[in-house]
Amino acid sequence: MATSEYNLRSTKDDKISDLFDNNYVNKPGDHSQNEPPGSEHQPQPVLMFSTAPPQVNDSTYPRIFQGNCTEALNWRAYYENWLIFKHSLMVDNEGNMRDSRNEFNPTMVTSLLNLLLREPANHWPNSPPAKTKRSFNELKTCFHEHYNPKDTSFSPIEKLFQIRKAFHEINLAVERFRREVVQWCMDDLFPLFLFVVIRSRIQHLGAEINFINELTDKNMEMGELAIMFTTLKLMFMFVNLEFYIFRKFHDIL
Amino acid sequence: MSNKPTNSALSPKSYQYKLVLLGESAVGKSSLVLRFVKGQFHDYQESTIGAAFLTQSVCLEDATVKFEIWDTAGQERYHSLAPMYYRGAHVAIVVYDITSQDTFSRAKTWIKELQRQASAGIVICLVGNKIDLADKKMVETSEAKAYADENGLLFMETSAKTATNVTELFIAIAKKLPKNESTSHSGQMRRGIELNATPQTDSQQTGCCK
Repeated sequence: MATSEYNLRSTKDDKISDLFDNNYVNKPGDHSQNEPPGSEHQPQPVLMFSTAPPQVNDSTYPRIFQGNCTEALNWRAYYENWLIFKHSLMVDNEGNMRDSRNEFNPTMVTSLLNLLLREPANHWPNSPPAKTKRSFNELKTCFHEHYNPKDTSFSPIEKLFQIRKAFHEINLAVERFRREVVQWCMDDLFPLFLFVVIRSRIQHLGAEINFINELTDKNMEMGELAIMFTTLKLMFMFVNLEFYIFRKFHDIL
Repeated sequence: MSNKPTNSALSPKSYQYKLVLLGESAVGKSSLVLRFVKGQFHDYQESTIGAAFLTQSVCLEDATVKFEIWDTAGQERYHSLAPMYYRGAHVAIVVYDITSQDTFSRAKTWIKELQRQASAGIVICLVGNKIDLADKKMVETSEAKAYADENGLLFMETSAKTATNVTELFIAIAKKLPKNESTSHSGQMRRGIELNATPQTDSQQTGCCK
């Protein structure tokens, strides 16, 4: 099936399973995994970031799964959004996945923004589709153009400057769209940056992050670049975490 | 670069501290900080990411304290990501909305988590925002004060809208912070290899290899 291809590919690239500890990883599948004892191999995880298991209370996030039909549908709806989000795949009527990364799809954008933004209407007030399309493309390209570490920058500090540039471009794109100066707070900036990072499809983001992490010293814990880098790191963690649960869930079905 | 040491231009002693803002979304975290930052005598440095990262200095009698303020995403969904933000922080301000009991219980959760996981010696400050809406008050001052005393926190009720207690809050924090070299950022900045330093390793290697 097409999905598993994608899953396999992303596992290979990101080494998702290595990033988080096993007792968390097995959690979503606990209720319905009936594997023979021998087949379950537990690789010793190399923890890149230590994370607590997510404690999510918001109403759209389905917390438990016990084989119940409604719960299954909730999970499906939730993670379908993430699947679309991560790989820009759309499910057509026959249930096949198709690649639509170069298509503009208003429903997709709306669903993503609904998923991400606290009050999407504030950022994207009932705009005509053309306008949404333009700003969507702007957002999509801004990170791509400005964060392209493979071609342009080799040292950690250059890469960090690229991240700052990307934030600057997000500002410009949103300001052009809303025609006023935006005063970001993290509540709004975080989801928007998440959106941009995922859409910009950076190759080997995990490796890039680790590279910067390893080659900067303790002084990087303070300053504007530090908060930006921390935010980027968190994006990566967050997406992998959510996507990992999705994959587990998908395997069960 | 923004994280260069700035102690040379300021008064004889200057300290830099990392301050993290925690709290449910829409309790007025960023308004509180913007009010503080813009209302000060020193003009503030515009940052690329707006109110998500700000710096501001407070002048005390004997020292200048520079705060580096990190905003965090308050939504429940991103809760598990917060430890990365408050790692290495010297101050944490936990904000709740006095018109909502929910935000207060969320704030208590944050505080418990901070006491468990944050770096030792972190100054935690509980702030009830929006006291201009006194008629809709749901969280009693006495209740919050009692909780703060019990846990050894700084406590203040503020209003970002009318600027009540905002500057006082940051001055109180600045006074409470320990002012020694090991916690100040200016001390950290001098780390690294000194090329002209006399090698000390030779004199120390007297243990076993002789």
